[in-house]
Amino acid sequence: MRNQKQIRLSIQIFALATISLVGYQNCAPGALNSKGSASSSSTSASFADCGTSVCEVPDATTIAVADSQNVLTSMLNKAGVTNPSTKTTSAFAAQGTKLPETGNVAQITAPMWMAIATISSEVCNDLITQETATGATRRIFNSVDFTKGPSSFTDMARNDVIRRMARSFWGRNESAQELVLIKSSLDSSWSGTTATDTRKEMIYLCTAMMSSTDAQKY
Amino acid sequence: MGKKKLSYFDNHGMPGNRREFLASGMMSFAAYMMTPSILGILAKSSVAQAADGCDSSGGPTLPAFVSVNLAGGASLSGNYIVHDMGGNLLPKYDILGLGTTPPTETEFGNVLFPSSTAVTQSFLTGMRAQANGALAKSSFIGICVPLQDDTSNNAIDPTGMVTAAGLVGSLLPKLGTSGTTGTGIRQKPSNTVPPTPLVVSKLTDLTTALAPASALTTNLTQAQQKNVLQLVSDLSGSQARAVASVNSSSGQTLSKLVQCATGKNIDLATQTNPGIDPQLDSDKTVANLWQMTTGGTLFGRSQTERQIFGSMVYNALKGNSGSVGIDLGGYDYHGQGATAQNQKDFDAGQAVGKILATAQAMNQKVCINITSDGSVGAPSGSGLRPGFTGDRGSGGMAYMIFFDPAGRPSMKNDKTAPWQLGYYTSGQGAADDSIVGSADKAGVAMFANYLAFAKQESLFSKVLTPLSTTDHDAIVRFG
Repeated sequence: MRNQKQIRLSIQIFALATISLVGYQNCAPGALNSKGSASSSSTSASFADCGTSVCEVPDATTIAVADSQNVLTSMLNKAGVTNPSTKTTSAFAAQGTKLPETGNVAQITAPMWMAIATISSEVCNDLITQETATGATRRIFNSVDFTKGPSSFTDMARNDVIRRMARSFWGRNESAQELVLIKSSLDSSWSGTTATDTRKEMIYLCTAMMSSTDAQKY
Repeated sequence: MGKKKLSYFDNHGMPGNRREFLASGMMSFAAYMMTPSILGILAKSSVAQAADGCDSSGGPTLPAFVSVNLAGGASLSGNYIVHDMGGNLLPKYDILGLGTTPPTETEFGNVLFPSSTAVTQSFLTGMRAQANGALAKSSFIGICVPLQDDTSNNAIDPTGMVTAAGLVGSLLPKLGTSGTTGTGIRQKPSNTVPPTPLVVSKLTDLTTALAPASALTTNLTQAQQKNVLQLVSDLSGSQARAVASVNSSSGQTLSKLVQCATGKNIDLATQTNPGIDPQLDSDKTVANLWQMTTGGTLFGRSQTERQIFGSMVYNALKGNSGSVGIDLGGYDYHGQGATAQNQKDFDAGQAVGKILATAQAMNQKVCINITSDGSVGAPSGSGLRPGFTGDRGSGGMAYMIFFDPAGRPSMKNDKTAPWQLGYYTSGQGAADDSIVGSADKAGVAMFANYLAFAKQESLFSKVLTPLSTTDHDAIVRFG
C-alpha cells in the first residue's frame, strides 16, 4: 500500500516537472527572426529580415523567459523557506537590476554573482530562523545545536549539514573535493565560541553553497 | 574493483513523506525543473563572445559606446543642416526652425550646422562650451530617420548589437538610467536585445554594485566575507566545468566566465576603491571635470546628474562597464517658446561636450549616439528659431559623434555631404525610403559605423548577416 502511494507520488512529481519544463520551452520568447535568410528587399538581408521586430541573439537558445524573479523563487524552493522575510525580499529588490533577464551569457558578471551571494545570505538567514523556531521541523540543520558555540559542531555534524545542503541546493551529494574545500574554509574562518557564532557560521556555509554554480543551474 | 556508491536509500529506505523526498533529493529535483535559475538560462547561450569581455582587464577591445537620448522629441534636425538625396541644401528650412536660408558654419571638419552667431544657444554651441577642444579630434554622422513622437517604441538603440559584438565591461554590466525598455534609455533595441542594464538612479547604485550587502555584512567580518566569496569561487569553478559536457569548449568557457565573475568578487569585497567611483581617484580629473562635489545646477545638470553621468561615462571609458545609456529629460518642449527650447538644446550639447572632454582627459576613444523620440516643428513661413509649436516625428534625426585622442577619425569623401545617412525631402521630412528610413535600420547603421570606427568591422558578421557591398559602402562612412 505504502509502495503504491510512493510510486503514485513519484509519477506525479515527475509529470509535473516534465510539464513545467516543456511549458517553459513553449513560453520562451521565441518567434525571433534568425539571421541569414535572404530577402527580396533591395536592402540587405539583415535589415529586411528583422524589420521592426527583434532578431535573435546569435547562438542564443531561447529556453525560457529569463525572469530574474526566478532567482529568488529558486533559492527559496531549494532552501525550503516558505515565508521569506522582508529583509530577503528587500535584498532581492535592491539587487534585482544586477540579475540577468535575457539569455545572454555576457550577463555573468561580478556584480551579478555578488547579488546572488547577497540574496543567498538573506535566504539562508531565513532558513535558520525557520528551522530554529519553536517546534519547527529541521530539514537541514538537524545536527546543529544553535544554543552552543561552534566548538560543539563536530566533524560528523558538519558532514551531515553539508550533505543535506548539497542534496537540497545542488541535487546531489557533495564530492570529496568539495567537502575538503568547504571544511577547510570553515576551519580557517571560524573560531568563535558563542551561540551567535554558530548561527553566523551556518549563514557562511549556507551562503557559499547556495551561491555556487550548481545551485544556480537547473 | 570500485566501491559501491552509497545512495540515500541505502541508509534510509525509500522516502515516504515530503520531508523524506526532500532529503532524498527528489523534491529538490522537481524544484530544479520548475524554477529555472540563472545558469539554466545562461548555460544554453553562446558563451564564447562573453569570455572575451571577461578577460578585458587591460581595457576594452572596442571603444566606449555612450547613448544620449533626448527624451520627448528634441529638434535634432533643427540643430544641424539637413541635406536632400543629392547632398544639396533644401529649398527652405522654415518648418525645421531655421528659416528659408539658414546661416551656417562648419564643425567636425566640414559638417554644416546653424551658425553659432545667429543661433547662440544650440546643440553645437553647447558642445563647444564643454568639449575642451575635443571636437577637433571628432567626426560626425547625421542620420535622417522619421521617428515616432513621445514614445519609447522607436527601435533605434543599437547597444544589443554592440554588446553582442563584444563590448562587455570588466567589472560592471551595461549601464543605463532607465529600466523600462531594457536598453538603459527610453528607446527600444534595434535588431538585438541587449543584456539587462544596471540601472543607475544614484551614484550608490554603482558604488555598491560590487560590494557585499545584507546578511553578508551584518553577520560576517570583512575577512569572512572574503573567505566566503573565495569558497563560492572555488566551488563554482569546478561545478561550472560540468555544466556543459565534459571537456567541451563551451563548458570550459562557462567555467572561465564563472570563475572570472566570482573570482573578482574576492578582491572587490575588501577593496575600498575598486575603481568605479571617479571621486576616489587620486587625481580627481573626471570628478573635477563633472564638478561632482559642487552643489547646484551646472552646465544644465544637477549635482546628482553630474555624479551619475560622470561616473557612468568614466566606467565606460575605463572599460569597467559595457555600453552606457543616458536619458536627458525635458525634450517634449514644443510650445515652451524659443528661449526655453534653445536652452535645452544647449544643455544637451553641453552634456555631450562633457562626455567628449572626459574621453579626451582619459585619452580614450568614444562613440556617442544621440537620439530622440520624434521631433518638433515650427509654423510654415517662420524665420530663424521662432519656437517650435508641435510634435513632428517626420522631421526625425539622430547624430553619431566619434572621438579619437589620436586625431579626427577619417571619413569618406565619396559624395556631397558624405557625413549624412538618409536624406530629407523638399517637404522638410526625413525620407522613409532611404537605407536608414526606419528606426531599426538606423540602429543597424549606427552599429556598422561604430565597428568601422573601432576598426573591427569583421565583428559585424558575429551579430548580423553581412551587409551587401552596396549597402556597406552606402552606410559605412569611415574610410
